[in-house]
Amino acid sequence: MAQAKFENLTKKFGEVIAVDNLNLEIEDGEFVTLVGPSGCGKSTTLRLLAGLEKPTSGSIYIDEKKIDHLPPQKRELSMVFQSYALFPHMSVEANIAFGLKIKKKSPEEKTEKIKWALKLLGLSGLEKRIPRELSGGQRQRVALGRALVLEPKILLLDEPLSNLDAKLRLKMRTELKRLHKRIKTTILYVTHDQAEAMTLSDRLAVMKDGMILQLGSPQEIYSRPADLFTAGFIGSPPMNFLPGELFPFIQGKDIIVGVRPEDWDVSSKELLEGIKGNTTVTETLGSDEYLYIEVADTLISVRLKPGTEIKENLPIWLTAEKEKMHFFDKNNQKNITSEISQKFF
Amino acid sequence: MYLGKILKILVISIVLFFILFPIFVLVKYSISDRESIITGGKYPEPFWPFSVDLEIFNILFGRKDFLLAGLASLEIASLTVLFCLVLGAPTAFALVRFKIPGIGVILFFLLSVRLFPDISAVIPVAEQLLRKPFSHLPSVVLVALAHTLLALPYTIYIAQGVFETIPRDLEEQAQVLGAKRSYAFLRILIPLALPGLAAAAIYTFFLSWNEFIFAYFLMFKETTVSLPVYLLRILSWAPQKNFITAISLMISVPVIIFTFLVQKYMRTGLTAGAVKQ
Repeated sequence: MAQAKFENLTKKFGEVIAVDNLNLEIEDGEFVTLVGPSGCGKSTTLRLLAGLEKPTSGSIYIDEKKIDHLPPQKRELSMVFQSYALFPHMSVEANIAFGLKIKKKSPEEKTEKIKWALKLLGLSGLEKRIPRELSGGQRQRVALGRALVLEPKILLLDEPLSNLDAKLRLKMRTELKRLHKRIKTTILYVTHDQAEAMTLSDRLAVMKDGMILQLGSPQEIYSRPADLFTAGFIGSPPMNFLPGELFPFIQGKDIIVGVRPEDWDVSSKELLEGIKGNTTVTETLGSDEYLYIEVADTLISVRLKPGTEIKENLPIWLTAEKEKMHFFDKNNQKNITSEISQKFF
Repeated sequence: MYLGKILKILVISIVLFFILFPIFVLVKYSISDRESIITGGKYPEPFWPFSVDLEIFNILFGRKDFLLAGLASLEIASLTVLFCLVLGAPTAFALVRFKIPGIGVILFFLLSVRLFPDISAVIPVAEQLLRKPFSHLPSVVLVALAHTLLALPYTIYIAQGVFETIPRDLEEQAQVLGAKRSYAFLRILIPLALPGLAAAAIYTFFLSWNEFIFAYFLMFKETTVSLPVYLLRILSWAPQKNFITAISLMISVPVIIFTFLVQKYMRTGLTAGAVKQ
């Protein structure tokens, strides 16, 4: 249990800037997620905290103490790798005991801790198995157990769910959240999956090109994305974007209007203020139904209220309440919704 | 189709013949009775001895010089394996994990001894090893050092391939869990590299056990010599066929035993389940 702070952290690999002047504070017991597309520097940030990479400049603090000079084994953190990195020649028990053995814990403490982890993660009875004999989900839990028994100051998780199949991923996601509620360890989590980031985190940081674009609670980021990238990245299906121009007050300012699929209203009757499009296909997910409407060259996704029946290839009119619209400056891609609503609405 | 099958069997048979015939000759003569070898021109040598006679092994194992030669060979080969692994495994690991400036030059010098025929390399090597400070060392150690020179490049080469297959994650994971680099190397990497290192060990053992030229130049003055050199000494007496083939056979046996011993480490897929690809 600890807090962590990144201060002007930069990491370059040759000419490539992986992490670009990053600042972030993680509170004690908080679950913070770094989310972004691959190559955005999220894993590098995690590895910097773990001590597996040395920062080019900037500092990292744990509990106000600078740890830049410490090698990984002295940082008292644990990390679960995307690959799980279980030691293939060791049993589940030995894998979990690995760190305890190095820390020279007494046999009683070791047995007790291992038992605790096995029980916590539902692995009892598998002590003697070797990683090869475990399923993907079990391996993942062993990796988690091995990290947890050390009572790390901060638990680092690098895409721990991405190697699991879809069903198991959902289950483990819930498990992980429950686990965090119970043990209250500070967790820094890295994922490219926005749904994981949204469901798990207390706060999430959307990253791109080595920078944090926005930091906030899932709800904040979903309802007030700071820029075009975040708006498009968080949410599934993503927010719809339509290019536009402001008039008549400020002529010639190019903007992009964003509307989330669930914020559209559709009408098969002609509406003067509506956008005209043609229906294409619908996707049914059971509880939800998504309709894709062709407007000019773009496909607009719309979440339909259950029971709406819409035929394909028919003209349709789209409207959205102005409170549900997001406005972005086309030049710098920033969210300018509040300026716009002050001026115009 | 039918013809292809026949052709295949034919080719395999020919290859097998060339591989097995020398072994057949060794076994045949070494278990022959006197009558079957020395026919006195009365009849040609039989394909298979008239009666199996193992007396020659009794004689052979009764000879102290033979036993000492066997022991010397065993010591040399084991020492060579030890030297090669102790020097080669960490070197290979360093080559895989770290960027070392000038590594090409180092590797070139490592290999350089193998760039010449053994017969031209042996003089400078023997010259050095028979001088102080090396000359104080027992001759088995000297020969093992020479063999290390020959086998080390291969050991490094094999071990490099082995370490490359071990995911870096495992090592980093060990470090994050509190292990020092050296601990991670000994507890994680070495056990996982063992099958591959065993392959390198077998190769090294073979090389040393069979090696003649270096052993000859370094040991020719000694009373106790390695088995290949011993074989030459015996040959110079013009011994009976069964005696010389029995020695040859005995040179082959430990190699076969050693191969079986380390074979279980050769199984593949030990690293399966470590990381999900």
